Amino acid sequence: MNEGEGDVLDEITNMESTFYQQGYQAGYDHGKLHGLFEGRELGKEKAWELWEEIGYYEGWAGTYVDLLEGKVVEGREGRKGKDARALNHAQVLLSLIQSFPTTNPTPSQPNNTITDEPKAEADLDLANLISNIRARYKLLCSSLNVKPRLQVAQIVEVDPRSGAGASGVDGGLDGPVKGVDTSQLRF
Amino acid sequence: MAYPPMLSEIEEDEDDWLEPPIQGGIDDPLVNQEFNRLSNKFSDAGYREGITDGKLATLQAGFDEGFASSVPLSRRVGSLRGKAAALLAIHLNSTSPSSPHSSKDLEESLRETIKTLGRLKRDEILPEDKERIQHDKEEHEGNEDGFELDRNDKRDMEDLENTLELLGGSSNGGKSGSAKEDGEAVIKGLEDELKELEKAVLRR
Repeated sequence: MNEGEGDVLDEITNMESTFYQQGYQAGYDHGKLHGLFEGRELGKEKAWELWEEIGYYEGWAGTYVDLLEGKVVEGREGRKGKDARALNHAQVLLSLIQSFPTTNPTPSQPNNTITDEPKAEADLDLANLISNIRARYKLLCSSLNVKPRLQVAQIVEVDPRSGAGASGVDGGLDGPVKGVDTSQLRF
Repeated sequence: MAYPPMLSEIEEDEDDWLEPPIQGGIDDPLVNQEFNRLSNKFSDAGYREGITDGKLATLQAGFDEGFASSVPLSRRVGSLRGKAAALLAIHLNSTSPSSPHSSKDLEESLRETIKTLGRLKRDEILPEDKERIQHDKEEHEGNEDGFELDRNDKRDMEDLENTLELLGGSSNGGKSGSAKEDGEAVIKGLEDELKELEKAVLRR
């Protein structure tokens, strides 16, 4: 009789955790799917945000390289210095862009307690890199006497861009914007 | 002895102790309700925790995946925009000997292209997540709207733009009405177009 009672009591206590477990498992499986979908959406947003901007600089600089390479070779006096400088800026900008990662540099493996610091460093480097890229772009623009495009890292531009007529005002933040998102994902 | 005892033989109120009590026993509907309530409470609590943990487990991987696959097209779009802007600036700057007429035409073409490029939207160019759409249809049909990304200013702005465009009517209606064109094809077309314009501008 005592054993019987023991069983029943066990059953009762276990019942609570069993239900919890069952619920947990079901929720977990479903949650995994949604985490994947949500992650993808966020990644897509971020990639567009970053690379549309960087791609812009790339297209811009690349075009001027095409233009100026020919001119600089011609060796026109007086103009040569200015064009050569602009060409140099453009080429440096292009090589900076080449070095920017096209994938998100976070290790997805679970056991990465050691790499917490290097990861933070990598983030910082990215922030620096994008700063450099933007700075170099502005240098390039000023050496060409053209106004830089409105920075859209934070703000969404509603109007279609009007090419060279874009406002020279720079809005938006540099590092913090990028930093926030990736750190949210570091669990 | 017959069990349960025949009621007809004995007074009802003397009988109760022989019958198993209904209250608190197997047949008590209140007990069942209570049981279900408790079990659901635990299941629900577990489910909620499970969802949270499950999401966290795959969020990073999902992000990396979405990021990597979206970079190439995004880059090309940005590149087109930058190139077009540069070409226009160069063209406007150039002291070209050719006829003002063709120069004006070229400028117009560039501006048109820039406008078209400016109208490209991320969600129209980048492919949508078919798996997610499928899942939403199957599991979260209709109102119970799966999981949405948190609201923020940027996303609100995008929603606003989309709404305005829908309201904006016929000029854009045709474009958004047709089934979502392949973003890759759209970009390729624009790249070819711009290449032609580039030849015209840089030749001078």
